[in-house]
Amino acid sequence: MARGILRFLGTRYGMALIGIVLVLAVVGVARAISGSRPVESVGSPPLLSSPTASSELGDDSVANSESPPVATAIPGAAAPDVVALDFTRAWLRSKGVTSAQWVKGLQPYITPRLLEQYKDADPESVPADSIRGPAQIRVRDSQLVEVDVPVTPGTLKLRLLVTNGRWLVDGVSWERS
Amino acid sequence: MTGQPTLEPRRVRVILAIALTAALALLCCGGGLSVFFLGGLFDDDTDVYGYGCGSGSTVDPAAAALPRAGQLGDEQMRNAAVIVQVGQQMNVPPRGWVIAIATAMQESRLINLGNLGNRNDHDSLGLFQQRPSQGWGTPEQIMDPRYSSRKFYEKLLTVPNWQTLALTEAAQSVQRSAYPDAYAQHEPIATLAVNVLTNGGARAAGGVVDLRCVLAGEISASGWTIPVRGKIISGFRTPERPTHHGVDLVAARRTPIHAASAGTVLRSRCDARTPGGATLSCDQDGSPQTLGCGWYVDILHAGAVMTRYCHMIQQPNVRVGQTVAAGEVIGLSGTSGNSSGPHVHFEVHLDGDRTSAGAVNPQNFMRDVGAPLGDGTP
Repeated sequence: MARGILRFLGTRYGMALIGIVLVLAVVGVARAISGSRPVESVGSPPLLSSPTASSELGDDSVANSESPPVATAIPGAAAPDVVALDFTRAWLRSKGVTSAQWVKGLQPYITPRLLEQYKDADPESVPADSIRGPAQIRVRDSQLVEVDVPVTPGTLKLRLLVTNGRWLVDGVSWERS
Repeated sequence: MTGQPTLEPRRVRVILAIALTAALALLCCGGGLSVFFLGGLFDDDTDVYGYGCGSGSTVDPAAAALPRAGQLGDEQMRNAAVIVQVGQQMNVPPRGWVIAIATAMQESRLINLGNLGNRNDHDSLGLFQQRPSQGWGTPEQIMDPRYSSRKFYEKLLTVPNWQTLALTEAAQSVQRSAYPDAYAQHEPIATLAVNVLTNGGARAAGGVVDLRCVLAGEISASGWTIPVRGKIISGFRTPERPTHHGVDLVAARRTPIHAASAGTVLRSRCDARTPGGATLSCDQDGSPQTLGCGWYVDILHAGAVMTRYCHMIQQPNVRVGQTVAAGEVIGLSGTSGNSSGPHVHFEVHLDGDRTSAGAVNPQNFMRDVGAPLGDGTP
C-alpha cells in the first residue's frame, strides 16, 4: 500500500499533486498569519485612550486666537532691521583682518551666546561680498524676529531677540543662492 | 530483494522531485509571503525603511547600488557613505555621523570640492572645506574624502559633550565658520541619509557605539528625546476628539518636562480663559470648562519643526528667544488650562506653522526620529 502511494507520487500526476498541495499550504499559512498580525506592531506603543480623559475635553491646545505679533519698539535703541544691517556690514568686513579683529567688529550687535559661537571663527569663511537688496523681516514674537539679508551670492539669515533691553543678533545662518 | 536495486534510484528521484517542487513553490509564493508580511510597512503613515535602530554592518561606499535619501544624488550618497563608514571604523557613535553629514551638506553639499576659483579667494577644500594653511593637511590629503572625514571626527571628539550639544553648536566647534547656525538646517536630510545607509542608525541611541534603540530619556542620534515618560491617555485627532491636535501623556504633578530636541523658544506664556473670554490665571488648576493650554512653551527646531508642551503647573523655566538643548528641562507638569488632571499635552507641527493646520501625529513623528512616546513598555 505504502509502496503503491510512493509509486503514484513518483508519476507526473503525483508530482503535480504535490505541487498543488504545497502551493495551497504556503498561501494558506501566509494568509492565516498575516490576517492575525496587527499592522501597528513595530516599535509603536499601543494607543490607550481613556474615556474619562477624552469625553469631556475638546481641543486643549492654545485657545487664544492671537493677533500677529509686532516687534517691540525700544526707545533709544535701534530697531531689529537696523541692527541686522549694521551686523551684516560688520560681518562682510572680513578681508585682511584677524579673527579677533573681525569678531570685535561683530560684538556690538550680537548676544553673549553668539559671541561664544564666534570664538576663534575664521573671517575667511565669510562666503559673501556685499548687500544686494532690501532686508526682509519676519516677526516671530514681540521679542523675536528673523531678518533675511540678500547678499552676493546668497542670503544671510539672522535671528534677533531682545537681550538686556536691546535688539541683538543671536543666530546666523547662510544659504547659497 | 531483486526489486530493491531498481527501486532505490526511483526513491531518490521522488525525493528530488518533492524537494524541487517545494523550492519552486517557495520561490513563486515567497514573494507573496514577503508582501503579506511587509505590507504594513508601506502604509501612508509609516516609511518604507521600517523602524530598525541600525544594523551592525559597516557601510560600503563602493556598493553597486546605494539607497537614496531625499534629493541627494549618487555622488552625494557615496560621500555620505564614506563619512558613515569612517565614523564606524573610528568607533564614533551615530550622533557623530549625523553631525558630520550635516556639516558636509553645508560646506560642500556633499560634493568633494576642489578650489572654487575666483568665487573663493582662500584655500578651503573638500567635503568639509578644510584649509591646508590652517593645518588640516596637504591639498591632496584634504581632497581624499576618507582623510577629510577622519580629520573632522578627530576634532569633533575633542569637543566637550559633543553628543548632547545642538548639532549646529557641535559642528561650529569644529568648523569655526562665519555662520554658526547654518548646520542646523541640514539635520533632517543628514538623519535621513544615515537611516537609509544603516537601516535606521539615526534612530539609535546617539552616544552609544553599538547601535541599539533608545531607552526612555535617552537622546537618539537624530537629536530627539521624549518630553516625559508616560502613558498616552488620549491620541491625536481620535474619533472622540477630532480637534485634539496633540497627544496627552500622563505625568504626575511637577514631573520635569524636557525639550524634545534642540531649538529656540518661540512662546513661553499662560493661555487660560473662561468660555466667556475672561482671562484666568495659570497658577491654579484648570478644568474641562477652562479654555486654553495653560502655562505652555513652543519650541522651534531644525527643519522648521515646532513642538508644544501644555498645562504646566507654574511659569516655564525658559523665556522667548532662549536656545535650549535636547532634553533640557523647560518646565514642570501640572493641570493648568483646559485639563481634567495632571498631564502633558504634546504637539508636533511642521513648516513652522503654529496653527492646528500644521499639527501632525506626534506618535508617528517621534517614532520616526527614534524617540517613541509612551511609558517605555511595548
